[in-house]
Amino acid sequence: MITWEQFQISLAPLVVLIPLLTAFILALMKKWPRVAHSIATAVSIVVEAMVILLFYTVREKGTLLYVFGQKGATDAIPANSIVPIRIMFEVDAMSAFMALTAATVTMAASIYSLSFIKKHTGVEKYSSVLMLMLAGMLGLVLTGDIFNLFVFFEILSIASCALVAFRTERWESGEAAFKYMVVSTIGGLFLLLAVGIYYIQYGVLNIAAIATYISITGATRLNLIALAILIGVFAMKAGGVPMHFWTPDAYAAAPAPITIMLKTASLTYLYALFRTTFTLYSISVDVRTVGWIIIIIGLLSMLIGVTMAIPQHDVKRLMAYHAISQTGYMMIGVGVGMATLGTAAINTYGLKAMEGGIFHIINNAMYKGLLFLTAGALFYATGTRDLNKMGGLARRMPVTTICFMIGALAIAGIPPFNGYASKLLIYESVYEFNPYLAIIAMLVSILTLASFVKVFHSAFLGPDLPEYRKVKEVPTSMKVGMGVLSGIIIAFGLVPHLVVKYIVEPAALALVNQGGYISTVLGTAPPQAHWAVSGGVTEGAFFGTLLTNSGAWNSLLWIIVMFVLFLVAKFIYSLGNPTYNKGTEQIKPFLSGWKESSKSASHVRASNLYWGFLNSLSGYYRPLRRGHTGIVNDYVGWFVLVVSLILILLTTLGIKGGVI
Amino acid sequence: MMANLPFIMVALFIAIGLYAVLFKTNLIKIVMGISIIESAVNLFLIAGGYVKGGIAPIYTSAPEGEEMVLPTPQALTLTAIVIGLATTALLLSFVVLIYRHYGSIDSRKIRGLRE
Repeated sequence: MITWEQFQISLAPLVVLIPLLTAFILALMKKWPRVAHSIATAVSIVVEAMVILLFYTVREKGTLLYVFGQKGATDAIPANSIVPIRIMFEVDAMSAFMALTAATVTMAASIYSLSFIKKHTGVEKYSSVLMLMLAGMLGLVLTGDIFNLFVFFEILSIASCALVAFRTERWESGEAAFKYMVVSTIGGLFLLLAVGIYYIQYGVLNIAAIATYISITGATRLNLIALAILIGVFAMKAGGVPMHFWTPDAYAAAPAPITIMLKTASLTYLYALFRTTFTLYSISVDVRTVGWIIIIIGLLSMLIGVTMAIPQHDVKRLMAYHAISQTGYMMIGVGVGMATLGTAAINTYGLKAMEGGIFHIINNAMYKGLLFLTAGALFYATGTRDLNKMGGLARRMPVTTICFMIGALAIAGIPPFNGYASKLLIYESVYEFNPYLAIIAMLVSILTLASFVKVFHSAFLGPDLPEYRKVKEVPTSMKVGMGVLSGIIIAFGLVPHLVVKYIVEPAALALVNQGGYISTVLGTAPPQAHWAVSGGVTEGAFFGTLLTNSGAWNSLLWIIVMFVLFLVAKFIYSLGNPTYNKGTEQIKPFLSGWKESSKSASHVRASNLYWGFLNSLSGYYRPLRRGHTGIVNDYVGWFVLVVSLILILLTTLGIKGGVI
Repeated sequence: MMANLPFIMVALFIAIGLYAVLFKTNLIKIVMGISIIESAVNLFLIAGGYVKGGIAPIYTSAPEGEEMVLPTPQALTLTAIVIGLATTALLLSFVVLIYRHYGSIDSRKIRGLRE
């Protein structure tokens, strides 16, 4: 009989095992495609429930360990050995946090898919590979073994690429999938090379054991090569500029529910980047160098991502560039944490910056997911992704419009939505590290708002276009999928202090606690390891107050103040003189004597909206556009270039103490 | 020098593979380049696990007192080979898809998605 404790320990492997098994069963159900997808949806809901339970267990009991092939599954080091040999899952608060993000998005995606892919053939294969993606993401974040990480990396890559090419009848799917697959495979092979470098030096594959050796010997030249490769690979898979070229291709070609899975997958690679730098290396390398490498990649991603988004007229390519840009925020937040590791600053603004970055991960997964789903709804209803052809859809699709507004306001960091809380945390703490970074981050936020104003204007507003007279609101399951994510966004926006306290701060603390991660496996940890820092106070005295670094944020109070201000404005308005007369000359716009043109002719299409802005910046845009060649050789070339640059930086500046 | 020969070969193979991926415009040749890099990485793992004068790591039939080569890199390599098979097959099937839509497998022409 299995006791409750045993079940709790087994949760980590079960959440990977259940979707993996389901994937292979579903692939056989060719005769019942609808049933297959319903099963997949049910499994994703079950996995979500189990991941929530896993999260609570980690919160209660601390870091969980599951050792495969070991009786009791908790003893990491076998009796006749001194090092951990078996493959294990090690779930600390950061892993649990990422698993929660991944499972939630998968649940929304599979509910949304119920009607979204109804018209397609091969639904059972779609569901099967979707489950494989879920297994890959959860395995990637839960594992405590670096070769196992490579295996899940490849499972996730292969499943993602297969689903990018799901719509084989469209011209772009094969191209996008091929490009993504080439960069993924090259990345995977270099990751394996790095794994080989660790194994040949130390003879172990366990992350905790490798971290111990690295912190004792210091980062050797070989370890620095491995670190450069790992930063390059994971930054590329997370969509960091200048290795982001695959991102808009793959995101635009994939069906919308798969796009949000790809987005979440890129966040799990970001987790792998943080796990590598914080747990494997931590303070064994020069933290300022590594931190600044991550910050510079993040800075480039923010700026180039958002500026490339503004001229786009394909709604999903536009959102894909925003996905790149938002990833930059996380890299900057956590990169500042890395750069201050081991100094006094980590206790003050460093940890806050990390909390902002990590909070942004889950916020981003939710609102970016919601936005991609609304883009999918637009495609479902109109059959096009081109914003220049859309207009006036708010009349026909009210639910989609509201969901889009929630997502767009959240991504632009408008209070009281969740994006504002995490961005405020990042701004205030990064400002203390380097003011210019915070200023650029705010500028990027403004440009983000500008470009979503463009989407909102050109797709939802404007006159009732004749070609979309028959467009209907999307089916219920798609509404439910979008509703789940909208609900989470609103809830996170209303009580950010609780989210930070219970979900985000434990994750940030787990990430910096290298000593704790090692000693969970080995029992002890070397004194050179980086130990836990004291978490700051995140909750203010007044209910609902989130203490950011130097200020505070309370969205409930904000809403009350705004409501009062609204009443005041209403009062002042009512004092005015009501001489406005309907049906007279007064309601007509004054156009210097010109006749008013018809409503449908006055719709400003997407590409015409910011022509002045784009024209005056053409000197900036021309080389940038020419750089996005779309040739797959160049995609790999940028990766090789970036890894070489990181390697040069690390070997000249990154060495710190230790044996070289 | 002789002991380093496998690692020199690894570097050489990676260089050849990267050359193919970076400069060859035929998509099939790009896939071939990826396969060459994959072989190089596998060789790296196997060479790293070699013990001088070691025998095959089969515990049951091993003579007393003989050194064995490390078994783990061989297991890793087997896994990597299987993964490599899957990725190569998928890549080639994408090339087929691209050829159907473009009528070409020249990477300079397969750039409908750009900017």
